[in-house]
Amino acid sequence: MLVPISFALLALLALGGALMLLFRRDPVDGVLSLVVTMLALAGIYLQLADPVVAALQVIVYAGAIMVLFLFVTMFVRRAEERGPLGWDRPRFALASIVAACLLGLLVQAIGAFGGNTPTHPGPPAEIAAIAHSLFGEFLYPFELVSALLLVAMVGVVVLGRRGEESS
Amino acid sequence: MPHSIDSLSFEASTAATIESLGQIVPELIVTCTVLAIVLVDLFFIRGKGKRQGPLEMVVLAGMGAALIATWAGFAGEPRAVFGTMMVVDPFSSFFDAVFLLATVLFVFSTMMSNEIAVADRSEYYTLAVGSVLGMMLMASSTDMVSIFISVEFVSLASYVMAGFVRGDRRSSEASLKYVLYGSVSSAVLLFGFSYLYGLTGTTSLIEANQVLYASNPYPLALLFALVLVIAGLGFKIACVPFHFWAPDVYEGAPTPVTAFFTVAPKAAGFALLSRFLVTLLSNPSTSPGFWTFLGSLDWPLLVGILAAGTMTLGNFGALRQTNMKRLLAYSSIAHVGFVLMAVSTLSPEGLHAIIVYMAAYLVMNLGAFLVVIAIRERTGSVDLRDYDGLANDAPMLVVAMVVFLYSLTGLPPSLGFLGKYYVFAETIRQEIWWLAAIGAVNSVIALYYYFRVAKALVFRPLRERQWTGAIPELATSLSVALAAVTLVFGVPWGAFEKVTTYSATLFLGR
Amino acid sequence: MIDLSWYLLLSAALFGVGTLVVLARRNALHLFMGIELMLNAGNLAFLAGARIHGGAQAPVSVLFILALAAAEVAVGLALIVLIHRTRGTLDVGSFNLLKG
Repeated sequence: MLVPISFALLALLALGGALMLLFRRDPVDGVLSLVVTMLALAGIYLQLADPVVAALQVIVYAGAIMVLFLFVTMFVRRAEERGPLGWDRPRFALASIVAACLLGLLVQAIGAFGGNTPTHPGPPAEIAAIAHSLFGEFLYPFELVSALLLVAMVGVVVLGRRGEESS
Repeated sequence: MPHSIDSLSFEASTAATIESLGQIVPELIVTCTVLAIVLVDLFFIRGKGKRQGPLEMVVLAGMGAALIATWAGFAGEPRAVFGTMMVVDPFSSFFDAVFLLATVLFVFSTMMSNEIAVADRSEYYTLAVGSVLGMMLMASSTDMVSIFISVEFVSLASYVMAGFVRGDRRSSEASLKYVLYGSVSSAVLLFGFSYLYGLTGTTSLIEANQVLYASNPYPLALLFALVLVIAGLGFKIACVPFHFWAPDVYEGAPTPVTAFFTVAPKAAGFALLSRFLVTLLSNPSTSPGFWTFLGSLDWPLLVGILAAGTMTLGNFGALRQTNMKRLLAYSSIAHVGFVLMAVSTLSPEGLHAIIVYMAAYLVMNLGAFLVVIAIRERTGSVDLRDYDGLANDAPMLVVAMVVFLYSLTGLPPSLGFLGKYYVFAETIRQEIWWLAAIGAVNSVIALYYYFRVAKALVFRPLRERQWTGAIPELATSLSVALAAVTLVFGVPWGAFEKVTTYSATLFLGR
Repeated sequence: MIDLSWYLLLSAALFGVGTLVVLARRNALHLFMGIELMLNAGNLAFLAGARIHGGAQAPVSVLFILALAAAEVAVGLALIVLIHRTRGTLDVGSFNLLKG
């Protein structure tokens, strides 16, 4: 009984945060509501027996990424106050219709796929299993990510330097 | 797939990993080149006066070494490395060679262009060579994780490269549009992958293929996942209806980068798309060289419609352009349509057509861009109205350009014709008449706008004007050489045919 | 234990809201946050799938996605700061120097 209730609560929190992001005008509100979504998702990951990912979700997503977002949002906020950016109404109407159709299709697909599948608790993905997988079969992608981060770093340096000149 | 956690199997897998490293020498060389660029810049260039030369030498040497390694591995047995994370087969080796050759031409075109400040070159080459590493992985990935990483790798480097002009607002606007649209497509791709994983229980495409053929209980969910994945990948190759970012990005980016973007990442996208479709969906029990596909949807029809739409919209977009970069951007969308036409046949012959077409497109499109860059040095403009009568000013360059335009149209004898020939031959062999007809009509439309460029260059009178510089010597000789290649290989050679047919060999894990 | 489809439904809803944010909002920052939402929806679907199959592949995939998302955000936000400095606005509707 506990699981359905906690899931319902967390799902409502996650969706509520997402909807706040959609409807609130100020990007700072958006960042904060997205943090709520991220934390709620971390709770859901715990429910799904993925404590490692849940911890990472809190540390990396809610912690690092969203703080970066908040920082940049505060940094550029002055411009938004001069001319608040709202909606693209015709596009919103059109997008809603398209999204509703797609969601309908998706729900049908899920109904066939998720509903029939008995969920068994399975062995929780322990940190040792994750480590073995990460440094075993996924070792090569792991090394590639380090090269990718180097390239991303160079890219950010380039962009940062450009910003210095133009200000 | 559950994994046992005893140290014995872990040691075995580590040994296998180390052994796998020996199979990917070209990738390792490219990785070392990235590091070498950073180090050479740090120790030999920083603070010693910026000049052109050392960095280009490093990149060219690295690409040359990687090309030799690729050639050495070309004839090897198709095999999976790092488990089933990626494969090394003639198909991937061929595309590796395409990326490396494109990079060599890209370095030359950067050297003759003044759009990139010499002081920025080290970061610029780091990003470019980094993206090549990502493309090489794209062409050989057979696992959703490595596919996603490689696609992101190329995208991240491309986002920054698109904005690589100091103080140019258009360039940073192009960059932001690229990041936004590109990230959305990555997210869509990922969502598709998450469903695919949920349906098959594995991230490996080879294993997923076996699972799907053993049982496919949820065709609708599978369809949904595949449509999302194809949409995400379609975005990267700029196929209709996900093409809208391409003209803006291609116009706003520095010209050498545009030249690179229209060829290398597209080839990588096609390599990935065809490998993805064949590895995941083709029936494992049929004989090699003949594929049947998972029958929840008429895939050839779906891809065929995308192909028809892409080439038509690309061509109609190109008709009204007066900016050469934008014109070639739309023309590249049209060419994507032709390659998709080959993808839609979903056969080994179609794969062969893709390979020939990409090789042809590499030569003729980079050649055309070389000329555009050279003319930009001379006139300071990429506007078609400033092209009038340039045949009197730079005859050799214009002759080369006319050859490239002729080949892009697809007239015989030229590489472009050869590419189109294989595409149409396979489409007609499979009796997809409607698609062949649309393709033929599109070739005629393309003739019009390519001819318009040639007409301005050759038949209009040269106007009095202020020149902004001289045509680089290198540009003339290089484009004449590429034009010669375009014509010489326009005649079907036995050896060329053999190499490209052999390149259509995929490792499918059976 | 509750039915798996609930997790998938939540993930689909988050993906839909993320898509709507991307399509309908005009602030580039909002667009980026919408993309984060879409990526999170993908992660949730991955982990829900892991409930059927077990094993460590899904958590490891999510780990990679986290790293890539962080890199993407770093590049994207650096660009936003750059655009903000040169333009003074983040309205994607006003980015129309490139037309045709």
